[in-house]
Amino acid sequence: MAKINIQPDFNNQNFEKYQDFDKVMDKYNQNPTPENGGENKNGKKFNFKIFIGPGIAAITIIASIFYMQKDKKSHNEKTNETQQEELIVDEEIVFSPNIPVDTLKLNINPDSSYIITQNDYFMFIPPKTLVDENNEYVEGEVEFLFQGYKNVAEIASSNIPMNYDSNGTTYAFQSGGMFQLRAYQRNNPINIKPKKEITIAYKTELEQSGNVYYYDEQKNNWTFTEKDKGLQNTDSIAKIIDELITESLIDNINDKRVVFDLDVLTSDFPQLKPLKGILFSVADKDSLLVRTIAQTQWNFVEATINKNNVKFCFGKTNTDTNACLLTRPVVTSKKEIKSLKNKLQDFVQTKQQSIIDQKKQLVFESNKNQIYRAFKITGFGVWNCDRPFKDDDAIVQLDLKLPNGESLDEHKTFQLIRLNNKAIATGRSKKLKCKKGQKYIIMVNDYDAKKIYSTKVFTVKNQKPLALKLKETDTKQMVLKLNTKL
Amino acid sequence: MEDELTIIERAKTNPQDFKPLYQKYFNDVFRFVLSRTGDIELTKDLVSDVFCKVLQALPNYTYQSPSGFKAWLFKIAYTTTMEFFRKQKKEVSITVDETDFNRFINEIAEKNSSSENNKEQLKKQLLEALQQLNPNDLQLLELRFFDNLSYAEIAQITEKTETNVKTKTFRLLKKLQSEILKTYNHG
Repeated sequence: MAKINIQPDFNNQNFEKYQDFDKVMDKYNQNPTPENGGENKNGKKFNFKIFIGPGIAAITIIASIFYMQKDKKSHNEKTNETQQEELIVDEEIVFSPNIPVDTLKLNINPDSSYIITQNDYFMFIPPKTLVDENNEYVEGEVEFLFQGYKNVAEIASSNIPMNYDSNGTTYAFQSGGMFQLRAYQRNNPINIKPKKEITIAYKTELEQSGNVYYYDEQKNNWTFTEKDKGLQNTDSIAKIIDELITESLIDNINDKRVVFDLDVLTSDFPQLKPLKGILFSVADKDSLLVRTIAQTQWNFVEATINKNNVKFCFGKTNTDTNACLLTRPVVTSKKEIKSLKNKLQDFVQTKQQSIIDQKKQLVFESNKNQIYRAFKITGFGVWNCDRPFKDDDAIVQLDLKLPNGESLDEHKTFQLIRLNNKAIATGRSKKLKCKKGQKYIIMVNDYDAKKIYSTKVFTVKNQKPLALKLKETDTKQMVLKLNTKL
Repeated sequence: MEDELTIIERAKTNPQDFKPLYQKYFNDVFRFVLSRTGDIELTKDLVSDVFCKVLQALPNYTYQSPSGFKAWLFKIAYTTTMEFFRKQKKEVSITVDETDFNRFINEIAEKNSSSENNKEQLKKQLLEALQQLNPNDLQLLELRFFDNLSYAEIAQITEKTETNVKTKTFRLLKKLQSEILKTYNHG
């Protein structure tokens, strides 16, 4: 546990009496070159090793050759402008401030499956899928944050590195759609259990098909996961029913628990029709809630079947009012089990049908200039449907000038959009990798200034240093601009 | 004083010429290190190490701007101090200015509409919550709110990007806010 001392006027204390430049010079004169752990101009630690003793002479020779080659390479990188500079993007991927983030809070029961249909995406979470950092199933309120990048401009403004490294070759990306999905419980990130997956489909304006890539935030690189796939059902109805109906469901109707019959207008909620006539028991603590539910006109009723119970959620749209009841179907004899099985089978089938209808709706909408790109994701983070494009290899010195005349900080990244094929590559450090004669636009997202800048369309004609002016823009303007230019 | 660029270029070949910049930045670097060690003698030693490393690394340093130089200097101060704590396997202690801490409380309490009456209670809770943070998170908040460095400077010091630093800071504040709200709700 850290110790924190609060001191009045600490910032105004003067420590100049402790100055001793001679001491600094003494230390420096004893060792005027960087020791292990010193810093070079890139801020990276020197990693020189000194080998002493004939027993390790062989290792020394090998090491010397290695370092000579390393030094040679380093020298070449410094002197030869055409050498590629390694792009290290050591950062956590964050949501772009320029694109809306959809926030959804769900009360998760690990045994339930969830179907979520939002404006811009559709998500299916099977049971026992979400786990915390200790690999324990998550239960309770979970916050999902979704950001979809629908077009080239939004992808470029995201600042997500668009370089794919495969066997030492760097590629730019021609995206068919990219999104970021995160989930948190009490601000702590949660994960998808290994070998489980969530199905997600989201709206994109990009028709390009491609493989699926996941951005590995530990390795700072894209990882190929699979060929682009369409939506698939993951749960068989028979499996759900078999798990659901067991003898353990037999309840004694005469016990003291509160029992209620489902009383909703089945014309409004056709999926609940098969459950008519089944009694459900609820815990005493919910007895008051049952009366409230009976007296209220609800706008939606959703039932989720688990192995041991049925969960009903009742809600009113455009208000904060909602209620959830965890219930168990009540059967008094083994004879009733068969009947119950059939009814629940009907319910599940109806529910499945509603999923299919939702998917049909997605397909229908996709015919209206909206494409739903479907992914099976195995982790929260950034996913991308993409086709790698062999990066251009000519390098010219670049000076990006901000509107105030200052040069853009060399640490900032930019996104280079190749106009003829919409390929996006991320660059940094005042070097532009490009191909002569091709048309490009550069976009820069300055998060701190909350501004997006772009250059005009430009063509590189030779190896001479290039100075480009940046002009403030936004993603909407960029969409229009790119649509015009592409 | 001559401009920093001229001094730096001259100090690359003659380190004695660095003295004006040593004098200029000494107080800030000393306070930065002292706020982490809480020990004057130890700080004197570490600060001389910091400036020695600065002189060693100077020939390879490319000056771009005063803020860039300051961030580079603080980066060396930060890594030197952290390296010391790692080697000594000591817990980092933090000394913060009371005014800065009160400003930080206001930042945290923004959404809690705290009255003056419960500021003291909030201060106590915040101290407890801060002490529970992992050292890296605590360092980030210290750099931002108690060393009063910009996101760009912190990014350079911690070798992260500005975006990353900003997001992490935002999440930490949110986390602290929710911890404190939780205590209120249960209190």
